[in-house]
Amino acid sequence: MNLRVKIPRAFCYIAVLASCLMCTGCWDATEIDRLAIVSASGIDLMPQDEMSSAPPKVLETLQIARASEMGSNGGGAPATKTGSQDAFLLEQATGDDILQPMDIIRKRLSRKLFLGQRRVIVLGESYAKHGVYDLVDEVIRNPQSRLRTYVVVAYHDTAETILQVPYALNRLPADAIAEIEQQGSLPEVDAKTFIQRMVSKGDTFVMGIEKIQPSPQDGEAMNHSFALTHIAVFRQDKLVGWLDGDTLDGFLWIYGRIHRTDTTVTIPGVPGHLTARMLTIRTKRSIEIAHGKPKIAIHVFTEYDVAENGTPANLNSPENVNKLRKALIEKLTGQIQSAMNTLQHTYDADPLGFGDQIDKRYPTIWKTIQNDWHEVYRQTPVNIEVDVQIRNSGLTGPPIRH
Amino acid sequence: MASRKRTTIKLSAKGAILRAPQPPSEAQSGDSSPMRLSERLDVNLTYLKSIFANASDIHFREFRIFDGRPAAIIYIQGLTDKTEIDDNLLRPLAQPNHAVDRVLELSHRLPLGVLVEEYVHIAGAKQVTTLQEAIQMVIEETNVLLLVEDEPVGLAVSAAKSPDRAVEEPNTEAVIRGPRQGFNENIETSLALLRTRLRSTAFCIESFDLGRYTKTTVALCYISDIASSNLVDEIRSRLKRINIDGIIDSGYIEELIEDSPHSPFPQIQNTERPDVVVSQLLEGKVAILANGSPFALILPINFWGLMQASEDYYERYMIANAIRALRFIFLFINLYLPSLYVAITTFHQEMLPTKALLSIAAAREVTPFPAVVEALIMEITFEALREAGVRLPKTVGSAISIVGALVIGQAAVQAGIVSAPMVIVVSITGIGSFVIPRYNLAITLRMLRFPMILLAGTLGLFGIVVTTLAVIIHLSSLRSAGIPYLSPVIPFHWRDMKDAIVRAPRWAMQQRPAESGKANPRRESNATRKSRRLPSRHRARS
Repeated sequence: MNLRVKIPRAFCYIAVLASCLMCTGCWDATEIDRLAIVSASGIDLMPQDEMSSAPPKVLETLQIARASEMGSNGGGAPATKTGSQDAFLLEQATGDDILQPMDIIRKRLSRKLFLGQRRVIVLGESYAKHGVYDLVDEVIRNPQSRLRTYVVVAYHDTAETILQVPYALNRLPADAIAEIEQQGSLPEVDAKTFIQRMVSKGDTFVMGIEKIQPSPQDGEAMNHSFALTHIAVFRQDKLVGWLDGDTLDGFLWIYGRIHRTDTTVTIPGVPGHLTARMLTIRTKRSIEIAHGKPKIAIHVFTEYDVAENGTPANLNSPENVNKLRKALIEKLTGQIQSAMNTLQHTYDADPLGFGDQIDKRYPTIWKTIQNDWHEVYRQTPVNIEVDVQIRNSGLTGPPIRH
Repeated sequence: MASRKRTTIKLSAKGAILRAPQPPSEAQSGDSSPMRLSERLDVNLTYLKSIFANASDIHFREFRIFDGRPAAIIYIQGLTDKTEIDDNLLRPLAQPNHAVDRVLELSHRLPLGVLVEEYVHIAGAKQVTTLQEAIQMVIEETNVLLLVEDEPVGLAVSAAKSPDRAVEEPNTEAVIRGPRQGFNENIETSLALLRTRLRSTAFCIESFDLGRYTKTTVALCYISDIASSNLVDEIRSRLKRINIDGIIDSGYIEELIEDSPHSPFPQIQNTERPDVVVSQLLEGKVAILANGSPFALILPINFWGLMQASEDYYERYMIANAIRALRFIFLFINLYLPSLYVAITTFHQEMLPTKALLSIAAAREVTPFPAVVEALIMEITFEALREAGVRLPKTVGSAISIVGALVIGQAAVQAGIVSAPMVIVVSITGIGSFVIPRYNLAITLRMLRFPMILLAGTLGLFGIVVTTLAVIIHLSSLRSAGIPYLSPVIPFHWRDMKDAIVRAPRWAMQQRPAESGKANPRRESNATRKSRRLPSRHRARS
């Protein structure tokens, strides 16, 4: 009896190939439950002796999501309360650069450190002032670091303290920071735009994050929280100062790419306040070379809706609307002026990219002025034009308060 | 088995009967010299009785016709209509009527021709002269054979009544709107369902008897004006080359005539619906029906045709398009979802939104197996459930759904053996495979899912891409009756895009498919043109 069964050749090939595949195992596979998912990382500068001349050490804080706390326990309800610190754990280590402390942390953890979902990088103010080139290199070079990570600077604070604060509305505070950035009322700065601006001819900026202390008299009524209240202005890779209040608003008008904000004004000679909601803002900022001298022109076009009228002024009359327009124009112009002033004279930084514009439009002129660009920038005159349209004063009649 | 033992009889040249053992081959009809029927009834009967010795269902009824001659009828008991035989064959033959009295006086003997004309009140009647023919008429055509003394010819009267099922709604292709008749096992009924829908001389039905023992009637149907003659010739020659013991179902034919039997993809469409067959015939395709199978085969087909349901054409075109889009979405979900889940959760975690990643991570915290093993376990369990559901007697069917829902749905998750997202993935995939209107394509995709999950588990997204490429390369080289399987997309025919992925409104489908309708490209659809439809309000007023 012939026991040799004829096996088709193709079948043999497939069998050999398939077994090859199985032998190697799963090359880069990591089960999802073997990952320590980093949701945010913070970098601070270690306080240093005045004496030592060695470069300062870096303290790195990682906010790692506790996956088991994130899911639901069957009924759809989350396992822990939102706003508690149970949802994440913090790991800290010091080292010479960005990745060394991370390596120390990695060796401590039972799970593989996974940076692919890092949503926020918080920079301590001291570290930002010291210079962030190390971080930039890590973000660009490390394939796991995503460029969509938001970068924020702790306002007069360390990254460590910011990362400790739970947020009452999000399970992970890192999510909260990312979602605040995405709201559209503040410029959204992720690592990509941050670095792009930094390596351009201009300067860069990011949002500043501030820890809000619960006020003592309110007791426990108010949560620990944080807010994005400032804009951190950089020159090259170093933090040079903060914008807040009117200068911040002015900066936003020049920046232009915001979606929703309210402006409260008073009309001269009329008591009370009036709040207008911005519907659209279109900003043209350009730098022209006229007679060999650069000149900055900022043209802001906005459309407003009247959202609240606390004044006795009847907005059904065009006169009052014109008054309101004027008040708005004045307010916006003042804010823009103060922003440009601060940037040009206090911080001497160019986060709005005027230098970049000259380089693109007048490359030959840029070559002649690039060495003393900051000198030129400081002296560049700024022409501000603000155009305000009131689209809608509300479909109600005269204000109720007379 | 019985045929091997059967002995056959040969008449020698002198007419004497000799018993001769035959080799176990099909003997009676394959002989070179046909044996004529004898004039003597008893010789014929002895011969036939010996042939049918082991066939107890074949009955011999001997009687005398009105002129006194002995006669006999031979028929298969279950396959003939007894009342028909009684009323229209036996009774008239036993009682003389006036018309033939005169003839009777002249000769006392009626020639068979007169008998047929005057006495046999049945439509189908044919004279046979040889014994082989006679046997064939009894066994293969299930006719009643009438033999009369002194007549060297027999009369085969068709009084067939095969066990038949009523025309029912097809189970495998239900529609909400559309005809509810389905083919059944009786080919005559099936062909009748076609003929009622195609009353044209151009509608051709060619019959073959296939299968050495089963002698299954196989019909090749096409519309001669539309189907290209090359195609019909090719299919005919493929059918004629079939040499097999038996055809039990049209599936046998499918496997024997398809272009690439080793491909997992079906290259011949099967359908229970006469309306589907008719619409395909009108596109220049060819249908094959086999007796004993309610499934007609249609070829050539293309991949996109397998994603179409007959209802697409009965419902208004927007609805049809929406449903078709849904089907394509679920085609991809069906094929890719489990492997994507495996690849992304084990290799490319950065692709998930953070929140999704975290909730999957939370769900997978307690599960013991890697995602790929989990996926395979769940998919195989699901397939087993589905198969059990198909084969189970209907009365225990509900048990399976309880076990399925409770055991793999809930208990496995609560016990921490399987993660909840995996159950969701497998369920959606399961639904996806049932959305595909052709069951055999759904099975193919289900089969492809397993290597894809394996490769996704070992190579990640790269593995998925590799499998996809392999499938696409295979599909583009596949042909159905010579026509590229992916046409009209590969090779591209813009004209046919009207009915591949989308379904255009009827008046936009003026032309038949480019590949199968070459012979007669234009549909007679002037009546549905925009200008010929109901006058618009504007024109009606003027």
